Amino acid sequence: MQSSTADGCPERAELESWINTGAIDDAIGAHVQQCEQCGAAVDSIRSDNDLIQEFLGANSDRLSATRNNQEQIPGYEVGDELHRGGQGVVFKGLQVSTRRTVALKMLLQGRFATSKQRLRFEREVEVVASLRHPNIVTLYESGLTTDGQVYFAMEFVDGQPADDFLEDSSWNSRQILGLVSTIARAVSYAHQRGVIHRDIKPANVLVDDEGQPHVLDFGLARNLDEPLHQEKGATAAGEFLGTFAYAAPEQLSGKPDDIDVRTDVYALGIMLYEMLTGLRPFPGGGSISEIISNRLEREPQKPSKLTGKINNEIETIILKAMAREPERRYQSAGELADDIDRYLEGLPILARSDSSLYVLGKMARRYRRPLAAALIASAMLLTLMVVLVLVIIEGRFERRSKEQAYEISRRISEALNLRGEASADMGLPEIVSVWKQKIQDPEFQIPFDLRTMLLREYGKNELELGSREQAIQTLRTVLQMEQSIADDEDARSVGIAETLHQLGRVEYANQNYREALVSYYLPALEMRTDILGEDHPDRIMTLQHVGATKRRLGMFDQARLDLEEVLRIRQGLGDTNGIINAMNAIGFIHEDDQAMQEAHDQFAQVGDLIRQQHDSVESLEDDYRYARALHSLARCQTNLGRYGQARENLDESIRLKQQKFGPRSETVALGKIELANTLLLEGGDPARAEMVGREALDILAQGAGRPEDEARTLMILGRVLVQSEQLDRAIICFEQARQLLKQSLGAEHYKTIDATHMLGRARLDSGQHDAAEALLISALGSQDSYPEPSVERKQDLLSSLVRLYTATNEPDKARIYRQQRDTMSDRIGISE
Amino acid sequence: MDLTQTTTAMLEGLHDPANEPVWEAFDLRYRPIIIGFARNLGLDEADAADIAQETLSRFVHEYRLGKYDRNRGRLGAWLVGIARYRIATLRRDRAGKYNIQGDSVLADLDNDERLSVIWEDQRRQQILRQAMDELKTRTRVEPKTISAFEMLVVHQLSPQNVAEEMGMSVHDVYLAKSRVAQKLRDIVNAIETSYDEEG
Repeated sequence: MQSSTADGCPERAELESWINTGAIDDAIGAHVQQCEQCGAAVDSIRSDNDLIQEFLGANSDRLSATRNNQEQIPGYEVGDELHRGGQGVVFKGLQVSTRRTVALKMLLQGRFATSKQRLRFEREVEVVASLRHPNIVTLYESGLTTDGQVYFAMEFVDGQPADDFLEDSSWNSRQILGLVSTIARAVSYAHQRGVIHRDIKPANVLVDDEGQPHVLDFGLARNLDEPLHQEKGATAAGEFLGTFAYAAPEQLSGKPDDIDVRTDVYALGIMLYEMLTGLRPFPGGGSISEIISNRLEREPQKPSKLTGKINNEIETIILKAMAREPERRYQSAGELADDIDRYLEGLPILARSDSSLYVLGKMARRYRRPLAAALIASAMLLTLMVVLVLVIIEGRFERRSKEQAYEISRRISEALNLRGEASADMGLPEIVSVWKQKIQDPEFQIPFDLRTMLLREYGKNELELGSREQAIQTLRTVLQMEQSIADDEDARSVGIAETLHQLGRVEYANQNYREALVSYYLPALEMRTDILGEDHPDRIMTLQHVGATKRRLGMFDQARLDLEEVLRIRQGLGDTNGIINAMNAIGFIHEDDQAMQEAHDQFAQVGDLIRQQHDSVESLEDDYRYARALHSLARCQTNLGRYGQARENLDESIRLKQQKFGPRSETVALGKIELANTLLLEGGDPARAEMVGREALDILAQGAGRPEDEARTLMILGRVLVQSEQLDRAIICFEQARQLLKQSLGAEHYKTIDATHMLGRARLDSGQHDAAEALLISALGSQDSYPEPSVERKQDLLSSLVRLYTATNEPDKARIYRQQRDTMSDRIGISE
Repeated sequence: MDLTQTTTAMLEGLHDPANEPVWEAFDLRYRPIIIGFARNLGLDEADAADIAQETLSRFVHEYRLGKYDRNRGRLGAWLVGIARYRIATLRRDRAGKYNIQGDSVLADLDNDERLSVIWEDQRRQQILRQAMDELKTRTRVEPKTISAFEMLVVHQLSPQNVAEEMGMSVHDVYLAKSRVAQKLRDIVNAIETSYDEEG
């Protein structure tokens, strides 16, 4: 050992360079192991290096400009930066001795590689450098920079990564197949020389001006210091997803020994899938363990379902290449290339789709449990029908059913001794109108309180039966009667409070929320608080209605406080059903207030509470509120972008509703609308989104549903169709939605404006500029007259107009709308 | 601006709508993290800036209404919750405006754990960035030491080159590196402590 200190320890500089370059001076290594002092020094240098590395990473954008590259690589002039990624930086460079242009790739981690890694790496580089193929980027050499960082010098290819190239080009599927076949042949060439790529992905294939592919980074994946699943962190996140997307099951399950040429075949299959469909076969995102289990357990979405460009034979080729088990794939990249070429030449391909016996076996394995469940379900059919009848009788929404109303009337008739005036074969309306006349008849001698009470009951029944105008008249009559007898406008009584509460309900149903709140609910609440006390169930009921009405008026914070009070009192009383009710209401407020996480937590709690109320799965599934809680929860999840969870909950909710109310009930349709929306936003399965949307529409078309629901479904369908580029059909959907909304909510309503906007956009995109202009201008006009204008909505409209006038080449008009839009942005300040 | 003002102190101050400095400090601390977070989830620069703006104003709004309860979770988790919804809304609006194609590369918002990892990572990066400013402007490390550190670590010159240029020994160059690293560690720890988000 040279230049050691007096006590035999290496100097600091030696230790630093031993750590940095992984020099193979194992004399130092041996010393460090024995010497406590040097061991500590090494630890401290390592920890400094870690911190510095982290620090450089976080500040890389601010530091890269000052980087002095010329110093770094002996024998090369380092030029412009070509690419910067999670693994390293690529510069254009010039090899001084040969004057040839090269690409210089410097690895970020290389500097701290261990000596063992370096040895292995150098051996691998030698092999890779021996590859000479027109479609493989030649590696010239690798080495260490003056600072001990690993670099590669390789052939410079003037081209784009394959994914960018395809995005910019208008290549058809035959051209893409040809490209992948060429890539597969290059990969096969490397395989024959014992080199496996391990990280084939579009970003590792450069396509030059002539459309020729050049595969990059052969055999180097393993040498990037870290195994795949250890990559992490912010800067690497994009790359990391990208890499995972092409990793074969044997790579993901951490069995490096199972990696062979078929691992590359798998990646080629995924790449072909993505290039032809524009989508990846497995949903990205999620945690690493989710991605892995997805890949190991799920079948990929059939590519032919995603695009019309893929026929049976192409699909067979893709699916064979990316089969989960290596033995079911093409056994070499060459075989894959051969089969693609056979297809392109019109010859029959060799790959066979899975035999029906195989498929059957697989199905049986996968569906064993659901099949058994289906059998049990059919045995329960009789029970279900009984349950259904019971549900109808009991009334679904805590409303009194007609039968109950009849029962009430019958008893009242008896009590009022109406037998002579009402007969048993009279229908309900006849009976009630007879007794209403009787009650109001001054000659009819009954106590005043009983008279007002009965009349109020009558008004309530009118409300239940949907005759709101009559209900208002009846209840106002009751109120006048009660106030006149008290001879005092400020009269308070239990009866008056009840009448006010009921009037509030009618106005609420009429959507006159302000009137309901100010004229009825609030006075009723005050009275009930004074007369009945804070904890009385009637007072709590009014308070709940007050909260619900405030929510409708957008007074979210107050509404929340009211309902939290309701909740608190009911919790004190241990009234579980009441608690569930209040929590649901709070969830809706959060949702309207766009506090989705809170809404989500609330509905999740509701679900838990309902679950706790049941001791068997059957009774839980029979509780309609459970299906409804799942539905609400899923809606929040969709809003939070948790599409996977939302989908699962909606599937479950829909299943329960179908079980309880039948497959064609309105509530099932509502679930399907939500599901279609989730699928639309998730984007992975437009075919299913369309199908589910159509099913919902089909149910609603029976006439049971509200026009708004039908319109919402049509809007979703329209968007799905736009996504799959079926503009003509999308236009039909938007048009229908617009008509429905116009009729039910009016032209000025924001939902109608949205529909008009969407229709305008679709017409714009399909080149119908005049029609688009008329629609967008009219939407803008309606938007401006809308009482609660939304800045976002208006900005979006302005953006569409800018887009329109850009398309029609009217820059002056485009500028006007752009300016309008941008001024609006400036006005949204942060201050509250 | 005091980098080491604790988040707790800031939150106290935010109750007073007129307390501009505290709002600024809060903004300075969290806006870059939210932007980094959004960028990491695949948003472009402009969108990420919008998301940060919306998230912060939403947070302040909710905070003043008393909706943020520190017992319910860390501040970071709360901000992630708001930002997540804003991002989902943005994507949904984009879907409406037809811009979603090939978005499968975008990370799904499904995974809480992953979001919190991204957040933590961005927070750490923000701290490291603040540390750099702090190192340059506030610390009493000799300029020569800092220069040697910069040449060695940032410009990646060889230690021999740095030694020649600065007129010091290679040994001193390495000492400079170690000294600045220690200073950096102190700064980072101080800032880290000020993010007392545990509540």
